Amino acid sequence: MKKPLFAFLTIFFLFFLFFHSLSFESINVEELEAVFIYKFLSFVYWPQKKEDISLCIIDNTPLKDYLLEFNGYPLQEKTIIVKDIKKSNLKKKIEICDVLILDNSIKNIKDILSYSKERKILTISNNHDFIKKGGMLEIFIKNKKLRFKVNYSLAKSLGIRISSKVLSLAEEVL
Amino acid sequence: MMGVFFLLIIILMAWPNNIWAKGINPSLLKLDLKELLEIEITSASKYPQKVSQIPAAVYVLTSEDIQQSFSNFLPELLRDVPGVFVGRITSNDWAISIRGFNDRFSNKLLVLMDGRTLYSPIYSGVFWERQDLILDDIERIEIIRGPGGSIWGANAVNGIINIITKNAWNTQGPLLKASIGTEESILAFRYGNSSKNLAHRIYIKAREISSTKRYKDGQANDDWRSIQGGFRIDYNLENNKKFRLSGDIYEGTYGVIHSYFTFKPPYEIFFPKDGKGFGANILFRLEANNKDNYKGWYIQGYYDTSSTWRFSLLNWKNNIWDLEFRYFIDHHNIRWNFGAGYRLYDTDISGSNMYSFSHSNIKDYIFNFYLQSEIDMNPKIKLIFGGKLEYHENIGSNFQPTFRFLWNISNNDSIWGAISKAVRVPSKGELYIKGNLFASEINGVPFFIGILGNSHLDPEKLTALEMGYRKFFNKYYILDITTFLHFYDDLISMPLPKNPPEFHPKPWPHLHTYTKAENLLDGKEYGLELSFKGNINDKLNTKISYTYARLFLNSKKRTFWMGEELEKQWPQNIFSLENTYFINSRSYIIARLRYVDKIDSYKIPSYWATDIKFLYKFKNGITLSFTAENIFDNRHPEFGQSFAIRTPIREIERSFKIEIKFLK
Repeated sequence: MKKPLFAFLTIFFLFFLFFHSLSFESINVEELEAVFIYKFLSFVYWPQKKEDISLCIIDNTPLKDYLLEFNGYPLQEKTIIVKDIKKSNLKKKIEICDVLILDNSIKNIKDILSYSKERKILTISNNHDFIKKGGMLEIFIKNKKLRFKVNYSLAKSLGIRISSKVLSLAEEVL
Repeated sequence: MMGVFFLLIIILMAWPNNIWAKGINPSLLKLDLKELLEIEITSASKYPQKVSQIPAAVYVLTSEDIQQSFSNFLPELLRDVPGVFVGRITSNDWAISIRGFNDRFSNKLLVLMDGRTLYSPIYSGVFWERQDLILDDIERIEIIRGPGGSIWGANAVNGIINIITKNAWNTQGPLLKASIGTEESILAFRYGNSSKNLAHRIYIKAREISSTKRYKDGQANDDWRSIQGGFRIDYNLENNKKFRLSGDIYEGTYGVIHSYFTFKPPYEIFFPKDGKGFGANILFRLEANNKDNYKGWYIQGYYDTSSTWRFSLLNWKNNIWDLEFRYFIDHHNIRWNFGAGYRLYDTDISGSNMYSFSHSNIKDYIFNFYLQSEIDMNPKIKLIFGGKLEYHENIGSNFQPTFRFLWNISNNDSIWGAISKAVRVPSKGELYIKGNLFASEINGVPFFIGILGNSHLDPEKLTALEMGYRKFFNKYYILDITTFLHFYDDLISMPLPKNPPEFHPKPWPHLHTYTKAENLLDGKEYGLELSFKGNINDKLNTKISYTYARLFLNSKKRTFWMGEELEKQWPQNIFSLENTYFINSRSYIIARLRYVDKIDSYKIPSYWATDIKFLYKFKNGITLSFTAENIFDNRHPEFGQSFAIRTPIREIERSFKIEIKFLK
């Protein structure tokens, strides 16, 4: 009795492991968003020549882990530098950013956005109505798929050029 | 105890080693923005393989595949595709078909470009040499093997090739391409621009192709040159509506060896003379698409004109007007898809010294309606029911139904099956042609065999059973296996000529008989198509395809032409292996090995071919590539000419080319 059971279990495990090892890693929202942001940035042109593009993420956003993976990746002819910044005294810290990722947890968002405007920072968030509040790129999920809205006129007024290739894919362009 | 130990080792080995590492999925990084937007976040199979959810034998050549291809010719791109035979007959014509019946005019394969038919109603085939757009402007090519009549209508019997060009938004800025080589030189220019809602592009492409070699001796006189230009405008209207207008125009001169018959020996004379072709088309499409739901419609119309001047074949001009409407909606988990279409053919045939038509002008129309429903029984099982009803003015009506299912066994593998019917309607040639096919002598008296069309022909019919299995492996490679069983009825063939021949004293004493087209053949065919495609690792990309098919035909009468010899016209085994090795982010090298089995009906031996391509991308948008085809083979024949176009067999030569491309 013992032997057939053992044989059965071994075969079962072998099959299970075989198929399991061939199975897919799952892709979650954050991972997809992070890849999307990276790909999106390759269609953005900054007014002044820069060596690197600094992408700032505020601590504790779920996107952080995935975006950090892109640290040192090439972006156009530049390199992307991912910076992890703390929430306190945010205004001061974002001075060095070219791209800023914000999330719902930020309280004085209007303030930050108007400051980002002065500093010509590209702002990204999954905050609802983000582009209407003065943000530049709004990412959201609709029917299980990633969608985005762009405040093109704002970007243009700051001299940040976004390729028309991207605009044609946007859900909404302001 | 040993068993447990053994088990532990297997667990450690088999466990996905990236389960603890966060990392970014490499297959995601390969996607472009548009593709990222297509990913469904909670779907079972995370990789956006919509193809894996289609219960049909579908293979897609992506724009990346097309970029990496060896050739600048559209028909040559199909060489790696499972189930497809590509044989270059001369420098300017190809025999391309799916699942048998390969010929210069492969009449059971439907080819569409952006929904515009490229299938000639006169010969039932495609003039591949005339489809000469800039390959960089192709978004993708979908190759569907097996019957597709329930959506695409008549003549989609053994397959459909659907060429989809890029939207003008995706072809912005300048593109300049120049290629020079031992067999071809090409110059192409495209420019695209856009404003807020409107994008456009214009292009022009010119090419010059040198002759192949005649089988065993001499020049083949099949060099050719052509020039093609066109435009496309895409306009985004309000409420997700889009409008598109596009058009192309081309002209070409094609070297041909003609033959004509005489009343004196040698009775058949061959001589070289250039043929000419001209064509133009304009197409509009208005569509409303809800990106997130399965809901939308489109209306599309086009006008297409083409003409040919060929001394020994027909001189003709063909006009097509086509209007099509489609609507699709998701209603209670059933996706409905229906449409209607109208097409008018207006064909002028002025004939040649070899052939003519019983009518010099033929006008006929087709009206069609189709309905398809796709039902999700549960997340794992999907069923499709559909059918198309078509009315052909000169042939009558026909109905082409299909039933399909897809079963997702797990997140990574699925099985599908289908039973479908499809028809091929007789071509205008088969209905109305008159001419001479063959010349010889009997006791010094000239003897001719003529060919006659038959206006009472019925459509050819196919009933097909198909079954397929797909599996995704980790880091995305996909294995796709399809088997099929086809039953053909009423295939059109030419029986042995009437015997004895009649004597005619005028214009010169000769004997004459003829063969008249009939629905003579029944048959069955089975086969297997296999493909494996994927990234073995970050550096190496592999594509393997293998095709096996056998056809068996039965005739009611003994045949003269288009009969049982078709069994031996298809190479039983076709194999291709392609490896792309990415040296770094700027350069790659591709090596391909192909095998095509012998073709008995033309006495063409089997051959192996090896092709290599090296590409380097400079920082400033310039790409330089070097391609060598048939490296280890001086030259080889790939296919014979059709019986109706009796010219010698040619050989495809080894070739080298250098290409420079500038893309901003």
